[in-house]
Amino acid sequence: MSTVETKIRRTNTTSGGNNTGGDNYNRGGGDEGNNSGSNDGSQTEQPKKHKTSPMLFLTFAMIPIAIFFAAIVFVYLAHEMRNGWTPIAMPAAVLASTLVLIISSVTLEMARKALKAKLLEDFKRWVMVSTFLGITFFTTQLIAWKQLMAKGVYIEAINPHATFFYILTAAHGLHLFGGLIGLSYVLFGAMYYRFSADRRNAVDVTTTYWHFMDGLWIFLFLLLFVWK
Amino acid sequence: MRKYLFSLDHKVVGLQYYLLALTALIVAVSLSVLMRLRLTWPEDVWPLFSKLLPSAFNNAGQMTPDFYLALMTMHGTIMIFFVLTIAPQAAFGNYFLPLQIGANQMAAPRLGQTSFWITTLAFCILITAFFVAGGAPLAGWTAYPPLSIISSGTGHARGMDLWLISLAVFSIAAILNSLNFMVTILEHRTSGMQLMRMPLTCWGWMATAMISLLAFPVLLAAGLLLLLDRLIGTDFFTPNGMIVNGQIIDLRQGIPILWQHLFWFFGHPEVYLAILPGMGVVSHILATFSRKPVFGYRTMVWATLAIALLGFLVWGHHMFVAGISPYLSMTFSFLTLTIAIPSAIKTLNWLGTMWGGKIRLATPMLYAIGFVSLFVTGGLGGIFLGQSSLDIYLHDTYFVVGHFHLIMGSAAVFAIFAATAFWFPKVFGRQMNEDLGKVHFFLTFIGVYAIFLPMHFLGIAGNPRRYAEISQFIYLNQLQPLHKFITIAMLITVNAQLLFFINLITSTFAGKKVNENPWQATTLEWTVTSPPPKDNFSEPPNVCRGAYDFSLPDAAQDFLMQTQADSMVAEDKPVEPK
Repeated sequence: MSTVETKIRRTNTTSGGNNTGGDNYNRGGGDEGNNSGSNDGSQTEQPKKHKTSPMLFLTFAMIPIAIFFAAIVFVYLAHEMRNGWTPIAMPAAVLASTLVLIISSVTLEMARKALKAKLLEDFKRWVMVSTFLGITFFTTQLIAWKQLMAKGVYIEAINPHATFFYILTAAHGLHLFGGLIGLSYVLFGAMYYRFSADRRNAVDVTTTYWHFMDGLWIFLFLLLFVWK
Repeated sequence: MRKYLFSLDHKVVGLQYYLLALTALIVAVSLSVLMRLRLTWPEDVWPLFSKLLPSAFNNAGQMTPDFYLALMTMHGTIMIFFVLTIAPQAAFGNYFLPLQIGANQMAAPRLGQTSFWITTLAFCILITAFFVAGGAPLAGWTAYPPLSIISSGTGHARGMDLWLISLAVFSIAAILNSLNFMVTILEHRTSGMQLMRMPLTCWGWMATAMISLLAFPVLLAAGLLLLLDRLIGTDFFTPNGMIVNGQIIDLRQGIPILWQHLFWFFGHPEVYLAILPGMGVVSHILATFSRKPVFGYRTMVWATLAIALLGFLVWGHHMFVAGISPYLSMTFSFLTLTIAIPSAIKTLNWLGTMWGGKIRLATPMLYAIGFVSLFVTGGLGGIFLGQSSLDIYLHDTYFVVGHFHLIMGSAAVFAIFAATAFWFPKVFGRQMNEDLGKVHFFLTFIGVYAIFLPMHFLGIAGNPRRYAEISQFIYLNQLQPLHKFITIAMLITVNAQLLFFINLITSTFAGKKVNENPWQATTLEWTVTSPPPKDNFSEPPNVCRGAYDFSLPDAAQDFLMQTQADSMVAEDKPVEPK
């Protein structure tokens, strides 16, 4: 059993992109030795020093991302306090997309729970639902942009609030796209039953990142449309 | 191709970074030579050079003041980002961090390789700025708006955009590289290598990685916002009522000073990012060549972390003349001066390390002592500048130029020299030429003092910085001889660097062959062959002691490798608390 898993892990290591997210998934299964601690055979095969936990990478990756947004929010607050502005009316699509993203976080968590409970079919189903919701979020955000543009509100508009709306949604979308790449990787793995209760680093990392992006979006949503 | 260009071996990545930094260093220093020549002999014509870059010269063949500012901008940018940020951290760190903590590779080898190539891309983008319409940007390495927002004219057009793109790309690479460093240090230490047993070099790299993760995202965000201001006409930083080419740009609502806050929130930690790995290397070398443990290892670690933390609280001292509230200035003054405490701790510990030691004055040691000297001299200038009342007078003068070139430029470069001479035997199995190294050290050491110390006096005399020539100002005319002296000293010093390069190249092929531990150092990299084998350690080393067990009273020899178990040393009482 363990040799089969090792083989799969090796094939995983050779694939994958090079963005921060991608690199985490490349090493999916890295701390397998920890989870199957009783299995001495796999431990000697894999020396202790090659252990790299993708979760730690993610933890450190989230710090600069959070600070990146904090810097933009700092500019936002400074502008708001100095000049004030009339906020743009919230496009209806934004509310929809927010709900979709929150639900997707929940379904992804369900997927992770299912995997932990070794319900592989359930896991697959929940991942599919989450991926679908993730893509829906992107679509609704684009619709929101369209709705605004239809009203003649552009990024270089006189209203700085609109500018910030475009910048923040774009930056968030770009970062969430990394999460979507991770999610498709998980989906692909789920289709071919590559994950198991012991092998779920990629799932854990993607889920955590997705929650992080979800929380970030809720914060941005509150900042843009609730906090005046 | 796979073996050298895109190798996943951390040692190759380290060497690649080092070569990139050396290339950048040569470019940046050449630019500063051009600046000094223009400043000292403004009337001179440049027949050959003006054919190469016609836009930089007027009809008479003299260099335009605009081009002087472009040189200044590019010199600063290249030095700070592509030399001082990558050489101490990415170059030496990638090579020696895994070796020193007993790992076979970095946590994510592919990530390390990727960040190197992204950095190279950023460098190419930056150099391209010289050759696009409008030429290189002239807004300084700080790129203050509104000057940096103007989007047409010499030094304001595409070059400025490329500058911003280059820095954004560089930031991403720096963040990726730092991620790799953090995870490597936290997870890939070999058994027995507790954090408090790590060499101080590793602490320097770790503190630097932390700083990068917190500072570079801010530069990235600010740079992208400024780029949007320039490209699609948003107004984050564009003020109302700016006059460009005689036309008023109105109906804008941007706040230019926000850029200064964001930039210096990144920019001040950036200074420590350049110096902290150097401090680590210097501590390491001073202990090795004094044959004594580092004095106060723990305080050194905490001072390193304190400097890293305080670096984030002092950005306002770059903005005393930007019209910020005097109360805010006072706070920043106070916080700035508190940095003198960990800095003084470090300096005294360095002296304490050397005190009473059996000092071996090999070249790495000379460079390290040079670092301490430059750090103290430069740091004392900082105490003047940290006080807002004095800074208001000195801020836009040569005092600042002299100050940061001593502490950040020269000191950090001396740390690079020290590290090069120290680790050269490990990388190539050959030693650098000691005689050549000593001549180079003394010429450079005296040289940088001759260049940058007089600049303090220029500043006190009121000579403004960033001016392409001073012959138009009567009160500055009497300072021209001093400028001439600085330029001549600079030309001599720059030429002395040829010795370093000759030494580097000849020693690579014909240096004296040495064994794997020529300096009789204690850390793990000296336990493997020189050059280290591809996978570093055939089996994970087991660390039994701290990094600086020199001259223990009961030990048979005056140094104990970190792998040496206590049972092998008769009645050994470690000096360092474990």
